[in-house]
Amino acid sequence: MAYIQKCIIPTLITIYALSYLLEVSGQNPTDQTLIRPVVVLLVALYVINTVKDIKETRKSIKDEKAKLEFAKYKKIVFLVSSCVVFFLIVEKIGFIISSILFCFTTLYILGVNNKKTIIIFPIVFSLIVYFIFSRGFGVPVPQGVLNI
Amino acid sequence: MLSNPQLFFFMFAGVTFGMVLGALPGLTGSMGIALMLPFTYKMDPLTSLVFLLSIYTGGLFGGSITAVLINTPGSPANIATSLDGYAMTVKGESEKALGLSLWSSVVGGIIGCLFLVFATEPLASISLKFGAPEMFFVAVFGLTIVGSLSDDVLKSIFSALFGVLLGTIGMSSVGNIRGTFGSMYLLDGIPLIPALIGFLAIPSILDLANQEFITGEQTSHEGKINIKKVLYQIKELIKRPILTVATSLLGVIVGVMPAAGATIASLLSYNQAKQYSKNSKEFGQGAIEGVIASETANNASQGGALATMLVLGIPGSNSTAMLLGALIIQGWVPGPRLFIDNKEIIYASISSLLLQQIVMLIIGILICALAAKIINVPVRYLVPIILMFSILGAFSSRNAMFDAKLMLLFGVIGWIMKKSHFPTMPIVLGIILGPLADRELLRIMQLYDNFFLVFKRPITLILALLSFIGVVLPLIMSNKRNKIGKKAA
Repeated sequence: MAYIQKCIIPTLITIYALSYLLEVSGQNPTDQTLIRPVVVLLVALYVINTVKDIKETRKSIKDEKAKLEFAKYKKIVFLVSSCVVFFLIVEKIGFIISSILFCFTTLYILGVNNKKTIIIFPIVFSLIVYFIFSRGFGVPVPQGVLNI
Repeated sequence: MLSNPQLFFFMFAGVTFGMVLGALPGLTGSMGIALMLPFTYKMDPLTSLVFLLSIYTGGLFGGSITAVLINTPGSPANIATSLDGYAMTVKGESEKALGLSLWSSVVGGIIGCLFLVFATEPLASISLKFGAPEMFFVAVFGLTIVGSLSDDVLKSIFSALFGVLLGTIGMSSVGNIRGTFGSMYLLDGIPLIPALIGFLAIPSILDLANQEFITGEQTSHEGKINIKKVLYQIKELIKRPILTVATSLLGVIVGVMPAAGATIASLLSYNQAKQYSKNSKEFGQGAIEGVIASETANNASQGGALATMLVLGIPGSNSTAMLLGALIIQGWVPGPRLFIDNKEIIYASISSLLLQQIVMLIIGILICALAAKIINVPVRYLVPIILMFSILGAFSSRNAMFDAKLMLLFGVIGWIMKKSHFPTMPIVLGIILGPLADRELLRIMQLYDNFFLVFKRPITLILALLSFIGVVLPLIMSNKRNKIGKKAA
């Protein structure tokens, strides 16, 4: 399990690099001048790193710390999920409401239990951020249903 | 100029505005110049230049505040500062890190200004001789820093290669579309701000979720910064005169090169400082030299970049491109004639840069005092705030929600890579330097029948040798460390 955890991203990156090379291989050869050697080197390093990681993981397999601690990562999974939900709703219902919901959720995930704080903080913060970016810097944040 | 209070007002306002913008991840000093450009239409030329230059000066330091306190560089030029600055914060030495960063910025800025006054014209003309081979090896040399970024050199190089691939996405210099997988948003390449926030800031923010405070526990200064302690950090620079001056000069030289800028200056300077330092093992764990090298170089590069912009009309960075726009708005044509036709105004604005460093010191202390309170805010309040600013920072770089989503994707990839001991900094370096290397390599292939002919050029040969040493030396050192470790075990 520890080994899979270690090699999952390098494997995905290598697959990505190979598919990128495949995509440009049909194009003008000048466009591959840098990409081709970079991909070749990346694949070679992937093989070397993988062999090295397998050896190291075998050595530390008995180490308790090498085991996955799902409880430790629970908060992080919820935080990332709340960001995904924010992206799904922000363009439909607008920045202010989705930001209030996002802040409320993240505060709850991170263990804020005080009712006043968990309600007032998201509203005040979202409004301040909205006015700084939208009015101050002229950033066109999604308006959604509230067209202030 | 000293008798004009209006100029001082605009200097203070510009430095403060630039510093605040620079400190917000995703917003940079160049964005500040862009925002304020319309307001300078009706100003007289000197006030306009002084105001915009002040924003530029403030922006360069502002980015280091968040780099030090929350490991989120306010701008790409402060990436290297976060390596040791944040490590100091984690150790409870945030005042020291902020003080070092502030003084290094001031000293680097002053050296850059002096260069601008005395050596502008001769050096700018030398940099014009840099052709495709030199620029290609500048990019390669910049990438060799990856060897110093992690104990595992091979993993660093793997990350950097991934970054270079990401950097080549988009329309190539011959007009072909590469690696976009059909996305219109990637035609201009991977946007730098979302990549920067995603790979560098988000993994740290996610890690914070399991902590009470940034430093793990509440720090002793309870959010009150000891200004004396910040000011005393000047002694660390006085103790290291060679490092301070050498990294500043390196910053100036890189700044002179067109399209290099403060980011490359600080990264190169950090790498060189690490390679020549007796304490190279401490780099990345709160080394004083790391913060000095990065901050002196990025501020000193301002002088070099302005020299190229004023004398040759070539902008060395986004900010100088904006300043070039401001000059054109005033009806001036940048180039050698600028010094003949508007000598007094140009030299007055250049000398104002020296005063801006003093203003930066004053405002910097005040902003550091406010920013240090962040350290003692529980992370359960800090995480939603930083996440929201990160999302908006990524969004506002092109006003596209795609960029914010890309930032989150990069953030998750970066976090998993960090857990697998793959450093993420080399990816960002690859994204910055990859397009430069790609473009210049293509030019080399068009200009030369045989690639190896480029080594007939002396500067290219020196840069190539330095790049080779930059990769091989950390590998040898890493092997030596492993052997010593095995023997000790």
